[in-house]
Amino acid sequence: MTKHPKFLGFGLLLVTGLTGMQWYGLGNVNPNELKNVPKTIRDNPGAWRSHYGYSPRYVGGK
Amino acid sequence: MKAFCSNCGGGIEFRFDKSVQTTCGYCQSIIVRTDVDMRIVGKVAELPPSMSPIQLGTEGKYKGKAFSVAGRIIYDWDQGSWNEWHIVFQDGRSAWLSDAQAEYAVTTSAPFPSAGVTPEQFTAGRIVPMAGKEFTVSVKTRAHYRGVEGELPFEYWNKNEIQLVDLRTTGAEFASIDFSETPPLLFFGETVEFQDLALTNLKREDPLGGPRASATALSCPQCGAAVEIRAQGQTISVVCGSCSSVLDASSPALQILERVHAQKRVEPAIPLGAKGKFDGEIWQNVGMQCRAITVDAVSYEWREYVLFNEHRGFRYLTEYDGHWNDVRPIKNLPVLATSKGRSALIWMDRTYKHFQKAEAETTYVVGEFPWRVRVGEKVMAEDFVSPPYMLSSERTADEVTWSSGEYVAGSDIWQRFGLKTEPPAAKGVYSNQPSPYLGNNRSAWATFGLLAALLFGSYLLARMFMGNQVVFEQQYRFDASNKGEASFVTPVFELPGRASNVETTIASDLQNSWVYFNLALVNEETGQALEWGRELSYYSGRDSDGNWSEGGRTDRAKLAHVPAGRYYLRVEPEWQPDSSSPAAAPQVNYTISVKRDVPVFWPYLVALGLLLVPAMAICIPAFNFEAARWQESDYAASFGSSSSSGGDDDD
Repeated sequence: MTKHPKFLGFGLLLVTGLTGMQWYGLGNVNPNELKNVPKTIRDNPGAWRSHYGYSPRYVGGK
Repeated sequence: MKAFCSNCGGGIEFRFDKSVQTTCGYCQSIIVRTDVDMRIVGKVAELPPSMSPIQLGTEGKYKGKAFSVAGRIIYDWDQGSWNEWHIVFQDGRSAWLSDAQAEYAVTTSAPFPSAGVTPEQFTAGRIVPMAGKEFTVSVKTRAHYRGVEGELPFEYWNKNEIQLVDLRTTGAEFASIDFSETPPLLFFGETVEFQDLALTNLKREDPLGGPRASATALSCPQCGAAVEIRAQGQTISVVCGSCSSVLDASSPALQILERVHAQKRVEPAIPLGAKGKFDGEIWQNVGMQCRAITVDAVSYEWREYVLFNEHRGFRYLTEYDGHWNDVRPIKNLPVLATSKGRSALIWMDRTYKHFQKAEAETTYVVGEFPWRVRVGEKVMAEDFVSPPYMLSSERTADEVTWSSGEYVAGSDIWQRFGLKTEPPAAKGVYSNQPSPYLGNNRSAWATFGLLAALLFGSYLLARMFMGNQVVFEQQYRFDASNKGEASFVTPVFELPGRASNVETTIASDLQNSWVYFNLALVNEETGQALEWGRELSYYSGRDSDGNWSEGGRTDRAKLAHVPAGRYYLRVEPEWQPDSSSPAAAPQVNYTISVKRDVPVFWPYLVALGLLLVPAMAICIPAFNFEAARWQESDYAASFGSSSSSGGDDDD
């Protein structure tokens, strides 16, 4: 096993890093972080438009 | 029984009851006894010198039973000579100890199993079932009666030429058929090792010593130059170092066998006469021949050195482009097999893959040989490899011989012979050269396996110890035709524990439409929010190809590292008609669920892929080495499809 110490080191680093990231909590979207969202949003959710841009969307079909 | 020779009056003795014939030690008369008297039937010609350590009176043990050597018959054949020693056990039984160039076999007479058998029915390589075993014809030859000595169990003095067939099995069994009588004489037995016979009263009591025979200096009848014979009695032909004539070493006059007009002179890298140590014994280099094969009009020439030890016989060193093999003749035949669709052999529990078959021609000879060597001699040579070992066969019309080689570094050979020069540098990759990367592949994949196991263990731990807890779930309905406000907020829910990820799942009954969701996860206490968007689209139908579908009705999104706290979701479903693709406004039922602390699998697949990179990088040199090896084989063109075949020694 010590014949490839670099490979082993790289792999252990990968496993350790992945385990840590898993514990940290992995995600697959990159959300916008917003601060000071008004509490009135609960009463009037339609009054708040904070999102950036407009996402391209699929309208096709076969 | 004691008596006197009627020719010279010297004392003679039949020491063994069943002996029928003996020779007078004084006048060499051959004396045969019958029930009533003894008679002289002839006279033994002068016997040739013999290097055999065995002599009349030698004692030994075979299968735990003691025997004495009572007599011998000496034969000559095309490639040399050998002794058949008549041995008598203490219980009076007779057997034969064959001694051919220090290869030994013990046989006993057996009834011939079938009548009407002729020598023509036996060809080299043919398989013959006998006594429940498959024997293969190894040699078919005519032998010449050369002389007798001592006591024999039958009259044997008036033979000239006999037809012999030797057969071997994949084990130690050995059989010999003598067609000099009708029905033929059959001898069954097995090959034996010299040391296993525990011989005593030998000519010299030093069976493990090196070559003892003092070299004999003779003159070449062709050019008059001095010719030295180092393995006297075992050497069959010797090549004059001056004029390259091949001489018959078995005759004192060194009769010329072949006049060679040498076009070239090759200096042996290991000097003739040099002594080296192999297996704890001293071996002397007594000869060298160059042989060549021609493949695709390209000639490949290699050198074979003949090493001699008085008690072990002959072994050979081969050298090609600086690659050396220590080669020994083998006694038990390999078993035919196949390996991945190719011809292969199994011998001593190893599988040897077929490498090459070609006609080899002797191109140059110098020194001594245990056979009648000739320049221009051709054999069909076939190699099978299992690095660092190799099995080779050489086939002629009447003989098939097998040998086993082991790859040896040139520096090792030089050290064994104590040579002060440098060995020729090895070029390229040789057929049975052990891969310097041997074990690399195995250890690389072992490392990969360990790391993959650790990755799997890491994921299992995550599955076991991460909460993976549903903290919110609610059903909703979206009607795009409703022009009112579509956005809403969910009830507040708790994200417990440490800061970790959050997975939101939207599962819908969407059909041939799409809906876009603007989502915001809002911390009720701090007013901080994470906002993202997800689109669901699902289309299906049927056309000439059958049913089809695209997109999906469910979407999952994970937010990384969200601190614990009280949260709610703001959800805003959207749909807008597209002028290029008008569709009915969707009415969608969907469920939003929120999970906390969810283990993620896909990074493990990425990590596994990353681990493959160094593992494969380590294997590439080994693959290239095997590719270079098989490039020189009969399978060069198909190496790509057989790389595993070539490289699985290291798998």
